[in-house]
Amino acid sequence: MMSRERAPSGVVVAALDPEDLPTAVVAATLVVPLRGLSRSTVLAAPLVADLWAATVAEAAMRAGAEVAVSPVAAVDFAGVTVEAVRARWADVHGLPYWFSPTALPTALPAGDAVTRARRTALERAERDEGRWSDRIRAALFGGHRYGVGHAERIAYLRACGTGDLLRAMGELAAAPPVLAMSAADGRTAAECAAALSAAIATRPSVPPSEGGSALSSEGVSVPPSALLSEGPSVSSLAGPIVEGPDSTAAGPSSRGHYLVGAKGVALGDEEKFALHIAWAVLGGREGELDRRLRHEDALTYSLAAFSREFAEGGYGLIYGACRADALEVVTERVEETLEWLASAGPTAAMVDSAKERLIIRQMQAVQSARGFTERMCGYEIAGISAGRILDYPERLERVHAAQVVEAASRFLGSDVRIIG
Amino acid sequence: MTPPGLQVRRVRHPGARLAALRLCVRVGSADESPAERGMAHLLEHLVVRCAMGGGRVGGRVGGGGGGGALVGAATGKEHTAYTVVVRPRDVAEALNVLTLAFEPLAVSEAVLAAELAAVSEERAHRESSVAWRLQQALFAALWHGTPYAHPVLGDPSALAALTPGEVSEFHARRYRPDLAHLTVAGDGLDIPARGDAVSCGDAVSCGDAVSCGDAVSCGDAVSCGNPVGEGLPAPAPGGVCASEAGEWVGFAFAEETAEAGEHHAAACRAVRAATGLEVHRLDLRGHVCTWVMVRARDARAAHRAVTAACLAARDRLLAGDGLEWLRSRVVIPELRRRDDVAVSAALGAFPEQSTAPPDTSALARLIGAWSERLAEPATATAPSGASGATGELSRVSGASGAPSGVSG
Repeated sequence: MMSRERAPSGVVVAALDPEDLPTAVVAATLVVPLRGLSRSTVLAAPLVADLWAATVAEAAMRAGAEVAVSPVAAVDFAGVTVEAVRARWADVHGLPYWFSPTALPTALPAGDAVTRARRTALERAERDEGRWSDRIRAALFGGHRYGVGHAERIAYLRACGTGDLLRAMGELAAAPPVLAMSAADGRTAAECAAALSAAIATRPSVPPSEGGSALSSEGVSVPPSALLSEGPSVSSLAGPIVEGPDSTAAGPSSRGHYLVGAKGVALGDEEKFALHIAWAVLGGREGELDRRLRHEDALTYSLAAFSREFAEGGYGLIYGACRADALEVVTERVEETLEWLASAGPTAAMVDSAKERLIIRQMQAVQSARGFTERMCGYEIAGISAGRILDYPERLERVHAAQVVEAASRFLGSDVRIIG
Repeated sequence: MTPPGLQVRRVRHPGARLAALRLCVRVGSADESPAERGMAHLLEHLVVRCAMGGGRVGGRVGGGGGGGALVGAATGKEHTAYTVVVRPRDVAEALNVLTLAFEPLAVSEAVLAAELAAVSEERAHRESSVAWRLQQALFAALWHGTPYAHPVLGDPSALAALTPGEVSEFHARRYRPDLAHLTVAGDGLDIPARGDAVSCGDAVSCGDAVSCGDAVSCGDAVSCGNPVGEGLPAPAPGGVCASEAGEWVGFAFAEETAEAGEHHAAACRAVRAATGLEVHRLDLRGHVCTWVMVRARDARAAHRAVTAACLAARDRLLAGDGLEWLRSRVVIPELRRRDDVAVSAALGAFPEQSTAPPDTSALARLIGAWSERLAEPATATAPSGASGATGELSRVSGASGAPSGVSG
């Protein structure tokens, strides 16, 4: 059973009963939403998450708790996750108390903590394989935080100073957090909500942001976007975006990369389920793209097709890596496949197969307590009850093949725009 | 029904909403003659495509599920593993699909050509990775002159010369139920079996798993336990050193399993947690291979960087709060990993939570010994290179497979 507390302060606490997720490790995740925050704070958020993690770890150790602490940095939120062995499951309930002081603007960790946190945040950003979606997201979301690219993020993380970090921490601390726990009862959830509300009430006011362009120290100036404060206005692009053919000539075995992007839906959108199936029909080892591109002619050596849903919008993309001389054929076949999906469409058996793959993938993602609590936070920040995570298989099962075709025709139709 | 001779191991994973099945066949690249190099990996592709009909579980004629779970496969030097994660209702069908691996394999010229092309693309993709190339170089040097030296991906010219008949013959020789075992992990599973042919034991005790004393492969190398049989040919004495792309250096050594000790896997994780340095491990027939790869201008700089990392990890363990640090930074992440039912199937065990504290002193001693053994350019098979540069400790990222583990 899941309990949920929403305090007048805006603090949300969601908790699973300890018996509902009998994992060896229990978790609690505490995050603050990035919606409405300045671009500089959004850019600094992963580094702030690392700083929080370091400080929370010290606080937990002082309290005698044996927990693992990790930063959490996503496009919609930033925070920390703590985990403990099940035998000491109550240890993670200390998170709201360890976190609150660290969120104050004056609580920058001492010593070389900032240097170490910066290095960790940079390594994570540089390793992030999502970087090749940068151009797609930039085209779809423009100045919205979903359009922030890795290059901009890395440049900011390298250059931001103490003042920038304090300002970002202050701005983040003012937002009501969301706390999700994999093992806690209703009373504990209520106590945590009260503790977090009290902490918010006592925080000092946030220092003013330095104008609309927050990256002045970098020489990078990004116009403030209305989307930062006004929500999901990401519908300016009607159809898929196709980037490419783009190839890299790296020696004798030159390689090509093919990228197709499309507008998607927000996490709470009812059409998400049909669209998930449409993308699953395309992608994966048994997907239609794999059959047409790799299985029949070994045209690509790396192929991915998937969608991503966030609180305020979403996108989907197809990525293919192939020989440079195969790019033209790959382009044709991808377009043919998209046309097929949006017109003739998949058979009922293909839809059933895609549903099963998605359900198994979702169940795998929430096998760990940490996977569950971080997903709970994402749902709550998107305005959806975390309990809906458990409904996902059932809601997916309800989708018919005709709905998949309809979703594909609206989001992956023929009005293709080519860039690059 | 499971075929006669196939050992089946059942692992209870409490609360799991999914089940994982893993078929481990005792054939890998070390079983190949020079003319067969790459055959085990090619067979892995062909078994999924031909024998298992694409490796789809559920949703078939008469199947009750929505269908769609897919068999994944990986080839190592000694084993080939096929894994599928399904909902509990589909366990019986998954078992049937996996055991199709033992059916006679019929391969047409066209299918063989298509999979050879796929393997060729896979090779191109992997060889674009500096980590992959460096790992191959390390293993080639460590096991020089033995069947363990060549890459799992094989020899392109040998593969190109293979005929469907040779492939089928190799399959018939190696894909036998008595040369394989199946592990099923989940909660409350009822495994259909022929009683006289199947060994359905209880979950393998993990013993001190929580206290990091178990043998877990670091990375995605395929290891299904050390088979009883002939010993491994002797590795290069004193370890080896290799470099790649002029800026990455790796060190490797092999030792007998008993010598590596029960804390080896935990020590790998402790070094990573303390310093970020990834210490890789691979179990091969009575031996444990250990290797690291760092960005450095030459072997001496790399030696300094690796030594410093090992000593830093050792000191971290020996600090006053070393035990607490080990529990929070090493034990908890490992337990979290094992909450995945597929990991239970791979390890053949679900961890029971032990209250025994990890032995930080033993870990520290082992890591301290690595600092002397892993990286000694004077005694290793070192590449030519200048000395005196400063090493930068940095993991090689993007390795999509360990040298003996090729996901197909």
